[in-house]
Amino acid sequence: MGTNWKEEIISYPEGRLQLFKGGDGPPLLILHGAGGNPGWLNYHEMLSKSFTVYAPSHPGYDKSDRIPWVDSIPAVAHYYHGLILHLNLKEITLFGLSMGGWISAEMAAMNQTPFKQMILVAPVGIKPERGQIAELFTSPRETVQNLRFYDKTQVEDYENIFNRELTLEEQKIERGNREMAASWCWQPYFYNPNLQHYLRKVSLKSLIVWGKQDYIVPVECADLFHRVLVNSEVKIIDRCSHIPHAERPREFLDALTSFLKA
Amino acid sequence: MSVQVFWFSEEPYSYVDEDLLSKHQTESYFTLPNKHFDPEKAHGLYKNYYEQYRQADEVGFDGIMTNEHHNSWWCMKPSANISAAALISTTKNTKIAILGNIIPVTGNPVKLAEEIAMLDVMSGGRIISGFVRGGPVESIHANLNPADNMERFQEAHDLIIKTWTSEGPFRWEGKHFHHRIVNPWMKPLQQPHPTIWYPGTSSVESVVWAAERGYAYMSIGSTYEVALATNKLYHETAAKAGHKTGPEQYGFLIRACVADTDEAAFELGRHFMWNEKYRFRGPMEHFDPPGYRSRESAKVNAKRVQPGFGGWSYENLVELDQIIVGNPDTVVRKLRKYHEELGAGNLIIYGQEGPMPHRSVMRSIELWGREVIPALKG
Repeated sequence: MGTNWKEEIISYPEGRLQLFKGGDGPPLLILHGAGGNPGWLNYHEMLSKSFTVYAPSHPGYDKSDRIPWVDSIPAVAHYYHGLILHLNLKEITLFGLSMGGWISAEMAAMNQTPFKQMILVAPVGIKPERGQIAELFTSPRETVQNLRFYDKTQVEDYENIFNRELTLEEQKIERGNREMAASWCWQPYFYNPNLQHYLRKVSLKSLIVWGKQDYIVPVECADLFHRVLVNSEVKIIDRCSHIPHAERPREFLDALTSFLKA
Repeated sequence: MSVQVFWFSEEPYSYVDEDLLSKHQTESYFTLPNKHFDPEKAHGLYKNYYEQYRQADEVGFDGIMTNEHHNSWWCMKPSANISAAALISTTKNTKIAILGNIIPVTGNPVKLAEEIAMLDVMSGGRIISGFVRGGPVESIHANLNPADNMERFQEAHDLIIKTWTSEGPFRWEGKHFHHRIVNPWMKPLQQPHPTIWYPGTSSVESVVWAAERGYAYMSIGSTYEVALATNKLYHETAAKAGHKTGPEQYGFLIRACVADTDEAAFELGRHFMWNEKYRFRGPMEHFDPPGYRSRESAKVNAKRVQPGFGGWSYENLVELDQIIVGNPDTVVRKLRKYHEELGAGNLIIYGQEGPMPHRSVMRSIELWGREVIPALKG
């Protein structure tokens, strides 16, 4: 983990927002998944060599204040459009993982002007045609952990990063994060039935990354996104479930690098 | 001290046995396949349960409590109001305590207000209207976002009370419920509205919620010691809020049965342990889904929620007076602890469980009416 970053708490607009920020260059906005903001990881570090990386915690998540009107994924997208205006960001590379991918897609559909390109990593938001998005809210933690990875032995430092006993403070945060995810994604379950139609007008150059054996969001959804995002390409990573950056870090970083260089 | 005695049964589907449960309900609350439900058998059980209610009415119970659960083999009541409607025509005198309507899961609180008003009018003012949030599994059954449960509970409550107490037509534009015209023809017979009960087990928030509104609090699954604490908190909070206090504002639900001898009652009471260890089996996430408990009330270090009897044996529970069994004299003596020492003005007798023989339950009800209730009131 590098030292090229800092954690900030900024006041915007009705509450405090936790933001990890680092690097130099054009802006890159990372939107985290339903579980919460993992902090500054290897891929943040890699991206910060070419970009100024902004990795906020969504309202109500981690150390960010809950904001009453931010009560759905489209509302989160509106919230972040406000934030990027406030920070005066332009030519942004939008980068969303899982639920953050859904937020990114909604943002692009609302107004793609502030964005240069978009990377979606196993996004939810579109209902699978054949499979189902796995049950996360009422399944035991162990079950969900097993779904997140194809082969845990591929994950560096798995026990320490993903399976250690949480402190009371961390449990409290995790509980709050689960509450936010439920309040935004309970019904319809992790998708917006209109999203595909909204995305047809998005012409951003986009990369869709997916684990071939994603046990949480079926890989068939990669094609559903690809069909409606006219300027998109798909990268499928083999031997990988829902967390490519942890399970197949090399392939994941290669995919990002080749897309961003092109 | 005056005491009101209520009869209660979960109306269990008593054919579910340990064999079946050990195969299907080891991991989850939701996995016992409903192909094991036989409607013919259920019909026979309903006949027994309603004969028991009729008897409870005739022998002098003050009331009958009913409730609602979903996906449950241990309670065949998916609608509290349908149950109450059937009780109205089964009984002549008893109050009918609905404890309660699961108001967050309804899409239409105004219709609920109309239904309860209708029950009150039909019964000649015999309805007690309880409001509940429902267990977490009820939210999951209805696919209601558990994170919205408390907000919807509050708003549905406010709308129902306004529907009963304000002149229509009025408009309601809340967060979860929207009605352009609220003007139901049906209003409750009891004015301004039926007595409201609110149940709880141990949560401080529940006690305070009821006390601050002047609603009677029913302790429906706590130990005697916890009940002492909630009773104290209830009365202090109600007094501070300027509401009436007193035994009629507090109730306690207790499993209890009577037989001609202590020995016979002890054997009959064993049925209270019917499938107890399976009833709430499942992952913590079924009983504590995200957002169901407020961030403030959540005890984050609680690894497992432990509803039910928490693993105590039948003998222990009888010894601790958490289950009360005996001949009429024994039961009267043991119950004094609850209505005299605890100060519960309402005793809700959970008097039937699982495969208790119907004849024994009928005899128990007869003894309650002929001997126990008069002695408690005397």
